[in-house]
Formats: sequence, structure tokens, C-alpha cells
Amino acid sequence: MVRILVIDDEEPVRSMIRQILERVGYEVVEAPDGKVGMERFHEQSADLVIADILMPEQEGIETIRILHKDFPQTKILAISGGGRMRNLDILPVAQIFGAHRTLAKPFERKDLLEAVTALLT
Amino acid sequence: MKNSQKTKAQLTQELEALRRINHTIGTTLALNEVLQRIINEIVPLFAAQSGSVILFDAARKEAELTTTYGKRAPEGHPIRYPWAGTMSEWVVEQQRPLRVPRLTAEAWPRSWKLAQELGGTPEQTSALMVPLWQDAQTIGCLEILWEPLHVVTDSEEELLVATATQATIAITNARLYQEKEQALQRAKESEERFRRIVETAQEGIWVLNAEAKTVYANQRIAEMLGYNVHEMLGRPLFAFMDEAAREEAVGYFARRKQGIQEKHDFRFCKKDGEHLWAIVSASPMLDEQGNFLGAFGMLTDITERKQVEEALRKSEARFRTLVQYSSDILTILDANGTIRYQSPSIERVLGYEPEQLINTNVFMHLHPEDRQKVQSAFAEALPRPGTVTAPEFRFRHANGSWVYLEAIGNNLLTDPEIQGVVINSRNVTERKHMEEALRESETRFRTLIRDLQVGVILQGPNAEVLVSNRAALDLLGLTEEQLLGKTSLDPDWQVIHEDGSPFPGETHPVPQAIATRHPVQDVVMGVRRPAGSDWVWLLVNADPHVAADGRVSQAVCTFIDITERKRVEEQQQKFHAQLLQTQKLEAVGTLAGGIAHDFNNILSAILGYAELVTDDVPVGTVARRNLEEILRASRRAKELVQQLLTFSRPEQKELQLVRLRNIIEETLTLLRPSLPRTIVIQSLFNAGDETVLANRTQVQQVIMNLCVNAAYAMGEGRGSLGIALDRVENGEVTEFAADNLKEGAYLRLTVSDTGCGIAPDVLDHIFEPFFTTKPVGQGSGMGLAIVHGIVKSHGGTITIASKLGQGTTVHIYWPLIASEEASKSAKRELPH
Repeated sequence: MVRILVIDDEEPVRSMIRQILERVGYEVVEAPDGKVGMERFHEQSADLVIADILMPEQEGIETIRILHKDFPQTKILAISGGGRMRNLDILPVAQIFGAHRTLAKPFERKDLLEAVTALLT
Repeated sequence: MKNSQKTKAQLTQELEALRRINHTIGTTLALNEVLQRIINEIVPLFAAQSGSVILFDAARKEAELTTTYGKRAPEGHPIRYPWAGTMSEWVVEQQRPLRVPRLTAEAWPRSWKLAQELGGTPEQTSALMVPLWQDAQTIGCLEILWEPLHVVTDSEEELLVATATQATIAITNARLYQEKEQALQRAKESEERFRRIVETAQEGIWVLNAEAKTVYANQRIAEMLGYNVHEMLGRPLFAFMDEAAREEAVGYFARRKQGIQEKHDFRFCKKDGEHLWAIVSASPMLDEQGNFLGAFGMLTDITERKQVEEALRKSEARFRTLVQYSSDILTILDANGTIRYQSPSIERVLGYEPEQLINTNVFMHLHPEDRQKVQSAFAEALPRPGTVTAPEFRFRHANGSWVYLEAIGNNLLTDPEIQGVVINSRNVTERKHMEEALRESETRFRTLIRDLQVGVILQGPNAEVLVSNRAALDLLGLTEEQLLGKTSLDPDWQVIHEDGSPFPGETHPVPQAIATRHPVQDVVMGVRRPAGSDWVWLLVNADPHVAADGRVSQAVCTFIDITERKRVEEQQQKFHAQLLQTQKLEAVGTLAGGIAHDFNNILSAILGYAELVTDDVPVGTVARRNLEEILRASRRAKELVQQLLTFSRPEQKELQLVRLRNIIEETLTLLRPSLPRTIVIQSLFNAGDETVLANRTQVQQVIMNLCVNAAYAMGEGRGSLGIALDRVENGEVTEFAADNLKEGAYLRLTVSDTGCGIAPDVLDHIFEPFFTTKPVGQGSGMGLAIVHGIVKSHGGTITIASKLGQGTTVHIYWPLIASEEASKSAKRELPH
């Protein structure tokens, strides 16, 4: 079973993504922040990590970086609210640090599923 | 007839006659009376017809018939006649009696004539003449005439001789008396005259006795001393002077005693205490033995003269002081220029003592450069008595420095008192220094004016141009001929205020300054230059020159060119506005960005969960349909937020090398069908082959957006849509600078329309998101905001210019990239 780790500081977002993904048969693990996310990953590695990079601690980027460095096989999908951080568009930055694809909120179900499918094949 | 023959009666008669004659002589001194008595007595005695006393004037050889008796008596007057040829002459010469029996013309021609003249008959006349003797001289004669003829007897002759003697005595006495009388008269007159002289003399006459007491003083001396004459008599000389003079007077009087006569000045004291100055001519008076009797003095009042002398002396002293202390230097030169006299003031001015300069040649002391001209002036003046002014020259100070002098000379060589050229010199060094400083200051000022490029115009009381400087002509673009004489009211001037409204001539600064008599400052005037019909902006000041009588005689107008300054000011204003605009938009963008993020999260949830729910709601149910609505709305919301985000941060898509022209043509092809036929599309590509690094889709979006706006502005009416492309350098772009267009070349896309235009207050907000003039529902108001965002993200700039009722023009500046670099950056995703 393909396991997907979802890291987002907002619970509703996590829950929504979980439901979408579980309905099509993926196993979903949640984490509220990068630190917990990494713990979960160490417990049970995932095939894909979906991470919101604009989290309060700004650890999203850091998490992606570590994941990419330490677990290059794991696919990373970065998602974002689409805001700006210090005049930098976050998503391009995420890609620089190792995210394989980016997705901007709000995304439709089909967009998410399409991105996930593309990354896992 | 002999005496013895005379009768007693006759003798008695004779004696009686003689006695009476004697008596007369004794008692009467009047000669005429005596002589008359003699004749009157004698002639009858002789029984003659007439007789006369004839007196002789020996000096003139004349005889005078002084006294007569008888028919030949003339009326009153004695007769004078030269005795030549007369009986009188004979008597004078012979000095003895003459008997003339008959008066014939042959013997006595003259007497004969005389007798006839006197009315007698000479041929019938006999005469006896007897001389009158005095001091052995014949002084006259007695004459007896008989008519008819008579023979003269001896006794008759004797009688007449005796009578003659008496007569002579009488005449002598009378004469003596007369002489005495005359002498006395003369003496009297002389004394009178003398007295008068003495009394009325201008001189005072003062006579002193041996004790120096006044024995005589005339009126004049008394007046001079202020006394009456009798007040002076008896008083000593020394009483009429003050103490100090007495000793001197004693000395003088002693010299009189020594017999010395002299003239000297003396100061006396008048009765009122004032002084009398007099010249005293004093003489000693000595008797025959040489004893001193006293002194005689004649005094002349010279008080006035002395006072004048004193005044003169004082005046001279003052003059001397003036000369000495005057700062002017007085020099007297001879004809060679040698210094004969030098006033003491030279020490103060030139440091020399006068003696150092006397007998030196004045020209040797002059500065070599000035020597020539001064010598020339001097030489010219020599033959011409009168004033000459020397030019300024430098004279060497005793310490070696040079002093500037100004001199006036007076040629008095021919004046016997001076015999020289009198030079009056003044130190003008300080003045010269000031003149020099003034000149320098003036030159500096002049240079300043010239270099300042300040237009300076001098205008007269009617604002007519009198004088202008070079800068004025340059700034106004006029030649001197064109400007001179013009006034502010000249219709040729085209002048406007800063806001563009007309600036009438009467209100110009110079006419205003003349009218109010006060300066007018800092007036901005736009003046059209006739040459190129371009406008120049001037900052103008006007200063009236008000004369003492209050009239304005002139006005000075100064101005500088502020066109550049104004341009810069205008630009700055524009930039400022644009900056404000940009900042506003950025603020909005930031806000939007901030909101968008949270919004997205919210939408995420709504959309996400709604989608999940639809799984559980069967199709066709109302619930399902409702869910569909939720989804639809959510998606629309997502769109909106996307657009908002696009505005604040456009989606970064791939950048490619895009040939703008191609995109334009593609867009127009797409657009053409949807535009009304009445709109004409005009395109002009001056830089069609240029490429820019751009997001193709976004570029398409921009062009589409602008064209749609243009079409909308023109509506269904006739209009023209213009699209142009040309290449510009950033330096040429003058519309703006606020966006800090980087250096380099840009491709300018121009989209213009002839539509209704945009009002200025709308233009201010045109790039703001959600701002729209379209009715509700017809537009999101995001179009231009997005366009603005896209252009900005490409490193370009967008500007809009519009005029209500005329149309709108939009410029977009895309940065051009050089070919090699362009290929390198192709397909590269650039972070923003």
C-alpha cells in the first residue's frame, strides 16, 4: 500500500486531504508540523510527502530540504496558500529545495489526485 | 617974473596956497586927496587953464595922468601913456623943469596928440613941467598948461618947483603910509592864514615849554586825544600816556633838549582810555643863544593804520598757520622747476622737512611714469600766466613709498611779489585706492552679471527698453534691434502665467513696479520666443528707480531662465504622483497577497469538503444540485482570488523569447471578428523584429485586455484603434522615471483609441484592482490591474494618457534583451 505523509498546520486541511486520498485507496499519515512529520516518517517511511511549506515556524522548506537530502526516493509535493514571504514566491523556492511538484491552494480534488498520481508513477 | 617984482598980494596968495598945501599934507594921508588939493591950489595961482600931477612908472616907461584940474579934466580915470616922445620923457631924462612956449606937433608929437585927445588946442597951449624928485629919482612931474599962449616967468617956475617939492613929500608920505598899510595888511593876512592853517590842520600841533608843559595845542590834537584845548593847556606831555610809555617819552623829550629833531611813532592815551597811535614830528625850540625853550610837535593820527596793520598781522599769522597746518602742500617753483619754497605741511604728507626739498628739482621726486606728463603740463603753462591743473602723479615719500598727489598750479612768474609758479597739492592716495577698489568691484560685478546669465534690462518710465545685456537677448531669443524700444504692452509679446492663462502687458512686473513705485519680485512668466515658437519660463524681478521728486525715472528688470527648472519641477511632480500611485498599488498588492493566503486556505476547505460530500450525495437529488452550486461558487471564488493574486503577484510561468509583433498579429486576428465594423485598426511596426523575454500567455493577456478596453471606449461609433511598436532607450523616455527604468533599450507597445477618453480623476485610480467604470456585472475592474502587474513582473512600465472626448493612448515598455543573453535566458524560470 502506498503511504502518503501529509504535513500541514491546519487540521481541516489535513482532514480534507486525508479523506480525498483515503477514498481512492491511499494510506495517509498526518503531521501538524515538520518536526512531528519527520518523526512519523522515521517510524514509517512514506512514498510521498505532501507538505504545506508556509507554516508558522517556516519549517516547511527545511523539512523538504531534509527529506530531499536524506530520502531522495521519497516524492515531495509542496502545497501553499499562495501568499508571499518576503516578496519571494514560495513554491518556486520549494522546488529549488527539492519539491518535485508544487500545488497551490485552493486546489480541486482532481488537481491533487492528478499530481499525486503523476509523482507515484 | 622975479620974486621982488611980485606984489605983496601975490606973495600972500602964494604963501597961503603953500600953507594950505602943507596943512593938507600934514593932515591927510590920502594921496589922491593931497594931489588934488595941490593942483587945485596951484593952477589958479598960475592963472592957468589946467594942470596935472603925472606920475611915472619907470619900469614900464609910462606916465600916468593921476590928478587934474581944469577943463582938461577927464571924467574919473587916470590916463596912462608911454612917455616916449612926450614932454614927460624929456623931464625924466633931463631931470629939470621944462618950459614949452608953444606945444607944437613937430617938437612934441605925442604930447601934441594927447593934448588934442583931451580936448585942447595944442597950438595955442603953453606948458610948464616940473619934476617930482624922490630919492634922486624923478617919480613924476607937475604940469601946468596955459591956453592961450603964455610966457612962463622964472618966479612961476620957482613956485612950481616949490610946490613940486611939497607934492613930492606928500607923495612920499602917502606911499610910505600905503606901504606900511599894505605891509601891515599882508602881515595880518599872513598871520590869519597861518592861524587858520594851524587851527584847521589834519595834524595835531602841540607845543611844549621847557618843562614839557603844554603851551599850545590846536583843535586837532585835542580832538585826537579826546580833550578840549583848554583841558590840555598847562598839562605836561606825560599826562597823555600810560605808565609803560612814559619812560620812552622822557627819553624822547631829553633828545629835544639835546637839540635833536626827529620823527617817531608813539602811543598816547586818550581821555576815554583808548589808545592813540601817532607819528610825531618833533622839533626843539631854541632861542638865539641856543637855550632850550621847548618842543614843537606835529602829530599824525595813525591809529586806524595801526589797527589795519594789526589786523593784517593777525591775518597773516592766521594764514601762516593755515599754510603750515593745511593738509595741502604749498610749493613755489621757479621756471626750471626748482623748489624755492615748501610749506611745512609737506612733512606730514610726504615725510620731508621743507629744507630737504628747497633748491631740489621737483621733477626728480616724481614717479618715472608720471614725470613726462607733469613736465609737459609745466612747460605748457610757463609762457601763460594763469591757472594750470596738473594731472595726478606720484611723489616719492621720504620712506620710499609712492604717494598719489593731485595738484593745481598758478603761474605767477610775472608777479613781482611771487616770481614763481605756486603749486597747491593734495594727497589723493586714499581716493585712488578707493577708485581702484570701485573699479575692481565694478568689473567683478559686471563679470558676475555677464556670467550669471541673468537677463538685465533697463527700461524707461514708460517701460520702454533702453538698454539690455547679452543674456537678456539670448534668453528672449531677440536681437538688440528687436528688443530696443519695446515695452511690456507691445502686442508682439506672448506671455502666460504658470497655469497657462494669458499674462496681460499692464500686469507685467515692470509696469507694475513703475505704477506702484515698489519692487516686484519672483514673478514666473512664460514667454514665447519668436524664433522657434518655443516657450521659455522666466523668473522676473523688477526694481523701480524712484527719483527724489517721486517720479520713476527708470526700472531695472532682471530675469533668469527657469525653463529647465520648471521642467524638472513638473517631472518631479509627475514622478511623485506616479510614485504615490505605485506605492498605493503595492500596498494594495501586499494586502491582497496577505488576504489571499488565508482566503485560499478557507476556499481550500470549502471546495475540498464540498467535493468530498458530493461523493456521498446521489446525482439528481436536490442535495446534490445544491452541492454543485456550492462547488460552483467556490470555484468562482478561487478564480477571483487567483486574479487577485495575479495582480499582486502574477503567476510565474515560463518566460520565453517572444516576438511581440507576432503576438500582436495573432491577437488582432482573434479580436477582429468581435469588433464592430466602424472601428478601423491601424498598426505600425517600427521595431517588429525585436524580441522580449516574456510569458507568452501573459503578453497575450495584456494585449487582449488593452484592445478590449479600447474597443469598449469607442462603442458602436466610428473610431480608430492604433497599435504600434517601436524601440526606445531609457534616456529617451521622458514621461516618467519613478519606476526607475533600468538602463537599456525598451520595446514600446502603443495601443491607442479615439474613444471617449478617461477623466483625470479616473486615471488616477485606473490600475487599482476592482476599480471599474463599467456597470455592475460587466467588468471585474481587474483587467488593467492585472495588465499592470504583468508588465511590472516583466521589468517594464505602463503609462496611460487620455483626453476626454478625444481618446486614450497606452504605452507599455518591455525591456529588450540582447540576442546572446536572450537565448541563454530562454526557458528559464526567474524568481521574482
